[in-house]
Amino acid sequence: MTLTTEPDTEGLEIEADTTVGGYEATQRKRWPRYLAHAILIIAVFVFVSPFVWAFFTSLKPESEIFATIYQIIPSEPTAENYVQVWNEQPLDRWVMNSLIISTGIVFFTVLLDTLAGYALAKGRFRGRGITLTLVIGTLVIPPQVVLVPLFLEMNWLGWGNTYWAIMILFIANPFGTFMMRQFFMTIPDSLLDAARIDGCNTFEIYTRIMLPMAKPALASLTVFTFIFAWGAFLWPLIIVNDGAMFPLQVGIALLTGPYTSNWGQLLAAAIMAAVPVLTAYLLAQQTFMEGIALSGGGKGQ
Amino acid sequence: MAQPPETRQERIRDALPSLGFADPNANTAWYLLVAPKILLMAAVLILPFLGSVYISLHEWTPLALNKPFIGLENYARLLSDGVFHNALINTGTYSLALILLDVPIALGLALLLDMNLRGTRIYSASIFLPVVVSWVVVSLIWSWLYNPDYGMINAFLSLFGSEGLDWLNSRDTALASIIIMSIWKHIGFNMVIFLAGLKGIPNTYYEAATVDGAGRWERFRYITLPLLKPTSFFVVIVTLIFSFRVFTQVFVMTGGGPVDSSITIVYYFWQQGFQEFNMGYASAIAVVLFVLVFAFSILQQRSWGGDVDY
Repeated sequence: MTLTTEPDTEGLEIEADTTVGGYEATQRKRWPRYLAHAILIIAVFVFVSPFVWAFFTSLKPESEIFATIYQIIPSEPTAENYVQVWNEQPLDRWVMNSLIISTGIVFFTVLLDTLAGYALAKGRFRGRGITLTLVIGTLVIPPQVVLVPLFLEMNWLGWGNTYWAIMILFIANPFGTFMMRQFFMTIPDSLLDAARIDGCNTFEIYTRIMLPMAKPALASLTVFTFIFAWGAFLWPLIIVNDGAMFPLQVGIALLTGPYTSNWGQLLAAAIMAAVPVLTAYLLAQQTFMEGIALSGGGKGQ
Repeated sequence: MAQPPETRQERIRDALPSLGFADPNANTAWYLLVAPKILLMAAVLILPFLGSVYISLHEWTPLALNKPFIGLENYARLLSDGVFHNALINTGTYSLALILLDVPIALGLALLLDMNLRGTRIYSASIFLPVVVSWVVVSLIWSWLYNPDYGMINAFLSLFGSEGLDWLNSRDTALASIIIMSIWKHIGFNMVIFLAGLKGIPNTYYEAATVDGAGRWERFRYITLPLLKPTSFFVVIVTLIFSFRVFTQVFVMTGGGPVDSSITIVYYFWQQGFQEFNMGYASAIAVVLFVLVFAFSILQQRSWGGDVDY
């Protein structure tokens, strides 16, 4: 943004008919706002109702699920689907697996990406140009392309069915390095020079200056990485064949086989799988959306 | 004159080898910072990527003792493989549908939210909700919505006297069902990026235009659209790149069927590589995927590289 001064609008009679640009609507034209409200309310219905409906279905006993579709709200809500699927399937184990994997991915991603991003943004070392090219070049590789050799590599190392094997593909992703580098570029060099004069070494500048200043970018990277890690599917499906090591997503998806027509329990499992992320989202909704917007912008807006 | 007493921290620091951390121009320190990530990237992405190309030139089944070099034969086979053609067409259709429907609707919703109406937070939080829920969960829920006999969608259609469709069980509608659900799931993502782009346009522009007598449409046409160009470009490219990787919803909802009518590139790759264990053939599919996505990725990096100043 280059323009920061507000024009003096006092005394000017502006007949704005919309709020685009922050203007209040005049009495004259209210209908665009009503129309916008109407569209958005329909949108809310479209985006929320599937969850609500799935939740209601999961509370119905089987006899009622397949009785009539017009009884949307369960007449006698019951938790029996939840109890049954929880008892029959190792859901608790899968949730734990997913938590460990997602937390590990987020931790190592943030750690390695901030270190590397800092070096690539502020370091003056031989080979920096080529390293940066390598990072940007690797961004072009869709992770799916490496799965066959990576599968062979992990088995060769004897890492099949381990958390490490699942996590490593996501930790290696260069996106965060690039994103953090772009962010650290915006921190003025004069700040680093001042810290040097005060006696900070290269690593102390990282912990005392770079990390504290990168809080919004870190929040963004954390949220972004967490959503992807939590939802990860194809790679864990390939590398894990021991049911006890399944992340939640894989475990739930493979229930579709044995539970083909058991929709009450299937949806109960799906709802339980969604609860941890939904809770986090409801608590920190703004952070989630800003996280996506920031990483989406690629260069901190 | 007494020396100030050394702090414990300083004594520890002096005892350790410096590794060049004190000198801003020493290579070693920077190498230590950047190395973990680069080595991991090399081991997990770069070498396996080259490995994919190598394996694609072989007939490679994991348990076979012999993995003969067969040149480009796997690629030649792809050219005449009907299932792969289906996968290409389906993935292309899916991507095109997302670009043509998902992106404009996301922009429309973002514009509505940018009007700062009362309740905007609830509106945007609701539309964004499917983005945070995983593809597996959303796919399960939608499989139930699409249920021809007991699903909500056919129940809704029957209110208008329609008989409803067979959605996931019919060759004609399976892919369309997946597309509709994916747009629903993904639209909040693009909407939020558009919204950030809209917020980045300075209000003073609109104010100046209003003073000059520009109406709603003119402001949209001559201020919003041109200034939103970098954002739109980014959204389109990222949507394309991600849509080429469509897998999870196909796995959960249709398994590529009925009769390969909803099979996609990555699904066929997974089937060949990890169900049939034709890893050479699967690698050839992966390399084709890479080539297809490559062009878009280059464009994406262009959009990141350029700085936009208003």
